Amino acid sequence: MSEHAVVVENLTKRFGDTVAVNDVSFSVASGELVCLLGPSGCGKTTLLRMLAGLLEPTSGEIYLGGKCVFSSRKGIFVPPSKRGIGMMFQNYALWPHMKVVDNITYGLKALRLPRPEAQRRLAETAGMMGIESFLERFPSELSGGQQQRVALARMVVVQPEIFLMDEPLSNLDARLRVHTRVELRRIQQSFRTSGVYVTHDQEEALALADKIAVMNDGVILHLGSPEDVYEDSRHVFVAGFLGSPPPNHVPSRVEQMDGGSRVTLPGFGSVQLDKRVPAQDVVVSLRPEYCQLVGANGGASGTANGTASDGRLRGRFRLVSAQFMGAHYVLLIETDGSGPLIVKHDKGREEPAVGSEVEVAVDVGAVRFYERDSGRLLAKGPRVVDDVA
Amino acid sequence: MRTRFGLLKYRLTRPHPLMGVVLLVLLAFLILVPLAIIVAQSVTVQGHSYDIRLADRPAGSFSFVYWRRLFTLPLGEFLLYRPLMNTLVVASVTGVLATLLGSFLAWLVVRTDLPAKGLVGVLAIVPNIVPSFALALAWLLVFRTAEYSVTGGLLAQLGAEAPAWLAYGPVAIITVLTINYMAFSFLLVSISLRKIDASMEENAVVLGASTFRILRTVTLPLVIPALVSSFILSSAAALGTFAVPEFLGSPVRFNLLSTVLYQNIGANRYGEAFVQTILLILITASLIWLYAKVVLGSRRSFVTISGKGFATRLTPLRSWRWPLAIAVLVFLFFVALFPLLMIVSESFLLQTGRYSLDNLTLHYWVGSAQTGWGPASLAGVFTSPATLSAMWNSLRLGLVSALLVGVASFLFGYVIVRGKGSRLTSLVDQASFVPYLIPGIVFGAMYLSSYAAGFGPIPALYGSYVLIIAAVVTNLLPFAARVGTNVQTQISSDLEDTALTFGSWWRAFMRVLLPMSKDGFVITFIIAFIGVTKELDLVALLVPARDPVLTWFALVYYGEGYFQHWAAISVIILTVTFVVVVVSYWLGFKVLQRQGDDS
Ligand SMILES: Nc1ncnc2c1ncn2[C@@H]1O[C@H](COP(=O)(O)OP(=O)(O)OP(=O)(O)O)[C@@H](O)[C@H]1O
Ligand SMILES: [Mg+2]
Repeated sequence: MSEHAVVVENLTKRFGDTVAVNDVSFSVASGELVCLLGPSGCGKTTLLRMLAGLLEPTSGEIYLGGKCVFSSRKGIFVPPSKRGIGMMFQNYALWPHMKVVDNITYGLKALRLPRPEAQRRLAETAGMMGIESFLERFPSELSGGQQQRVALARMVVVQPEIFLMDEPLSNLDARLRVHTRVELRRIQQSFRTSGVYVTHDQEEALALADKIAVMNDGVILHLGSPEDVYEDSRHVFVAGFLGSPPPNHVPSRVEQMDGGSRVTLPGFGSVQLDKRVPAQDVVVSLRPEYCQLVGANGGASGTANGTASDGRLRGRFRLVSAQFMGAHYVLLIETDGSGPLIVKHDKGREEPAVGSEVEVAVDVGAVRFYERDSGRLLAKGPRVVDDVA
Repeated sequence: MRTRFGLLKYRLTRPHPLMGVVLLVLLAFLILVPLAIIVAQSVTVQGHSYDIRLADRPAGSFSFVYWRRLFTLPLGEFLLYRPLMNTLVVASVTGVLATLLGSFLAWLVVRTDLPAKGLVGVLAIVPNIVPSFALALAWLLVFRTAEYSVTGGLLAQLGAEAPAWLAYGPVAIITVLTINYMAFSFLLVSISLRKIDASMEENAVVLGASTFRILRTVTLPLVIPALVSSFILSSAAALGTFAVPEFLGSPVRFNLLSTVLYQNIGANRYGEAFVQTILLILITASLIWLYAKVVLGSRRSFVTISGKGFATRLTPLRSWRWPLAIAVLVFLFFVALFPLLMIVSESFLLQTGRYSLDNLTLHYWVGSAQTGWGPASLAGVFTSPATLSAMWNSLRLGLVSALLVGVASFLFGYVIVRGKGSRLTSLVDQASFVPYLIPGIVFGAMYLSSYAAGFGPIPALYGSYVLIIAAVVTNLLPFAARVGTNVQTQISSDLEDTALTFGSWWRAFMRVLLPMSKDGFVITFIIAFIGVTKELDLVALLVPARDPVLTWFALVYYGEGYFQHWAAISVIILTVTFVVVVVSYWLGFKVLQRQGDDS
């Protein structure tokens, strides 16, 4: 097997005037599961269907298992059934007029396996999915979760080299979804099959994927490990799309100073960036969990705005509202000028009182700065924390 | 190396664009070419000596002579103005009456606590299944007068002969057409009434509104789109209908555009007929265009129909319950069952219209030809080789056309649903609706003018069943495309796509698409078969007199005054229709049960 299960080069798909997928290139290492994550209409399904050969790309090249399966330049198109893929749809796409067993063995028949081998595979897969007892039923006689397992069985029974899945869990209820997610991961790893998995649920992507590709408007903005895309988002859209509650995005501006560049965090003070960059407008991204309440109810902390002492910047604000989320609180804090700030506050610490004045500390190492115009990552958390000017 | 040409091969074998192109070319030959030819022919001097004299030019040369003749007085009055006025009056009055009757019945059945609803619901649909030429026959059997017919009708026998204005002409035509189209309106409005969310009416009840006020302010506004559709569609059908006005109007020379057009062709006056054909198409098309604009175009303002509330609230009729039920059942008896009784009994009467036991006979069914004059000189319908072979022709025409309509339904549905969004697809979608604009008799005139004499690579097809099948199938295409689209919409494309990841398109087609489209195919087949078997308008001009279909004999028997034979073939066609309907209901029932089992 080659090193890369999937290689996509300059893939574009146009529907009339809309560009659904725009010059996308990426690769999936063998055995790896990549999640395509993005908002509705960003082109995830379109990309997946091109990989499957269900849609003809406008231009570009696709290699699966080292073999070119599509090339607009060379005029190559390998039909879906010859691509070594298994596909799973959101609605499972079980054929309603066939029994479960016929649904599962449909793909085996095309492989022309000897009968005992086909029987063995069927039994093995059915056992693994726990669906032996309803092989003789029609799909409409199954619950949603059972249908989901049948669809999974139909995909894995032919032992494809690559799984392609389009939101396969989104029709399940929340509890079953978490459970099935674990199952899916186990199966994918036990077969060591590579996979491309489409979802718009970030939690699912973070939990499941070896790598996440965040898409917007037909392009992949960031492809990396879950930690990487979350902590070091390369694009302001990626930063804003991930995290719940989402990060605070505060407009500001880079100014020059002795020995580097500086950005003011309204209400907190200013920080020095980790490198010198030209003066420009920026978006400051502050994740709520890196904003901490230091002393509620005008607590003892004492120091007013800004200090460098512990790598944190402080500010005093009024608490507007507090939502109890079960595991933590989500607080809304009023800043002057730049809009409200969302802060995550762990349970079990001091109870925040709405209306009171609170002190918030920001972990400056986790602050990210994005170019306002292009949205690209400009600088990471500042190395030095500056006193209030 | 094999994948080298993969892309090209993929594009060539990808089914829907290619299928779409094929369908468009077919539609062009079936609709566009005949339309173009008829327009060209209407400004071309035809080949008869009459035409050449009229135009004072050789046959084949360009001339507006026919258009001028139709639009200038005094001849224009008989060729155009009067038939046009008659057509418009008959169509609009029929549309109003059919809609009023049908929707009132629908309201009673769907939204009130009327007793014997099931029976009312079934009886209300019966007149729609009965072919219109059979309804016209029943009317004549009751109302005909000695002055215009061989003998007086049932009323005359009872000593109360109907006046001629009631027996023939506009009143008769409008009444029969209304009875015929009432069921259509009933079905349309029923569906719309069923979809109304009961909570909308319940809200009004809670607020203290009276039954009548709820009807006027809540229910009625919600079904207005259905009422408008019903009016426009039944008027459009009445505009081009031929059999009923021919049988009930021509004795008193009350003509519609459809009948003058037929008479002109019978008299070899093709030029005039072609102009009348074009005008009829234009009128029908503008009505349908209005429909598209008013009803389909303004869907948004009628979104109040939710489609969810199935627990519909029944309006209590209180003391009106039984009187209304009895009145409705009596009415339905006279429009649905009594005509059938008249027709069946007529087929057993030796002497037409004389109701007495010594007059009973099986002659018109199985008797052999007798010497002399009158209907008895003609053998029974099951003895005469002519009618026997016509039955066989009707059956073959019905089966072959229904099969083709079923296939067309699948193809159109597949192309329209799977190719959604492309320009080619929307063209196919729109083109499939064009035959809706063309009345049956006009189809006959169009095909007669274009393909009877041969066109381009197509040989002369006059009197050929290929031509008749083409006309019949094309006429049913709008229906086929709509059913097909519904069927394919319900089959998620993911089902096909999943199969594609395991095997070839052909295997996905055979194992997944075809089995899943089966029910739609059967339904289309059955409805098309019934429609074709009782079709007269469409075949009137096209069937060869040597080798006709059964319905065509209605024209012959009408002309000769052979009412018993006419009744006998009506009974045969009615029987076939009812058997097919009952059997398919039974089949449909099984399908329903199967679905019930599955879920
Ligand atoms: N057949 C088509 N014709 C025209 N436009 C299309 C077609 N299929 C997709 N598009 C457009 O391409 C874009 C991407 O669609 P796609 O289905 O890939 O989105 P998605 O990321 O899967 O969204 P979702 O999360 O809602 O499923 C959309 O703007 C859509 O309108
Ligand atoms: Mg999608």
